[in-house]
Amino acid sequence: MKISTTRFGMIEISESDIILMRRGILGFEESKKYALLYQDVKNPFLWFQSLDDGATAFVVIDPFLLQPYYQPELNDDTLEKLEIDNPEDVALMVIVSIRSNPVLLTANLRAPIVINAAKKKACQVVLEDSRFPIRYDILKNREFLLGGHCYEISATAP
Amino acid sequence: MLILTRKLGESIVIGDQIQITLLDIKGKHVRIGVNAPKGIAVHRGEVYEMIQDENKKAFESDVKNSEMLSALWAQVKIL
Repeated sequence: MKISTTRFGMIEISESDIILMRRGILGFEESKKYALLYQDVKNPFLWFQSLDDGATAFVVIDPFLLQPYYQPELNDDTLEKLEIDNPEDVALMVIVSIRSNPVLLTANLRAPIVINAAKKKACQVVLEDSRFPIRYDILKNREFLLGGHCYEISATAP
Repeated sequence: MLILTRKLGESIVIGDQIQITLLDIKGKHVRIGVNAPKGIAVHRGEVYEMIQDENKKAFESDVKNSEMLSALWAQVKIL
């Protein structure tokens, strides 16, 4: 499908890369279809672009690049609704909030986007464990992030 | 909204799997017990609101395009 976006102009996304969200992102429930976009393979920050609304996009990152031991517990309801039969199909992304002056980057580890990479179904899950911060300071904890990274989920170059 | 009056120790049943019991009242604080199947997520309302607010903040991030995102990554590496 083709969609006109605020950030990338007209982009074309193949049907197989469309991620369908059950309820959308909390607060942005109208958008259900998304795609992961990257600009530069070396940049671990990706865009989670709405395909229903070209102006809606979030910067996201794989939380394992921030915290190697990040292992949130997903409840049965989530596994069932995303039709996750194989744990290896699960990909996680967390939403990043960015302020430029002064530079502040935080990641919401409390509410990851859980993606069934095989079936391209996703939802934003609110974790019950309050030890996962809503505003995880990326810069303060960036040693691991700078150590190298790789992708486990395919993203599209706009 | 359905509004019900309950006494201490009494409960409300939603569907056939969720039971909410009024456990204790102390001043302005009410303790509520929720019995629900393992798969049903139960959260304080304000947690959901906090996540919505955080999503809105992220949406309003100061990075508006890909060039800015590349620049940001470069900056993260040298800061």
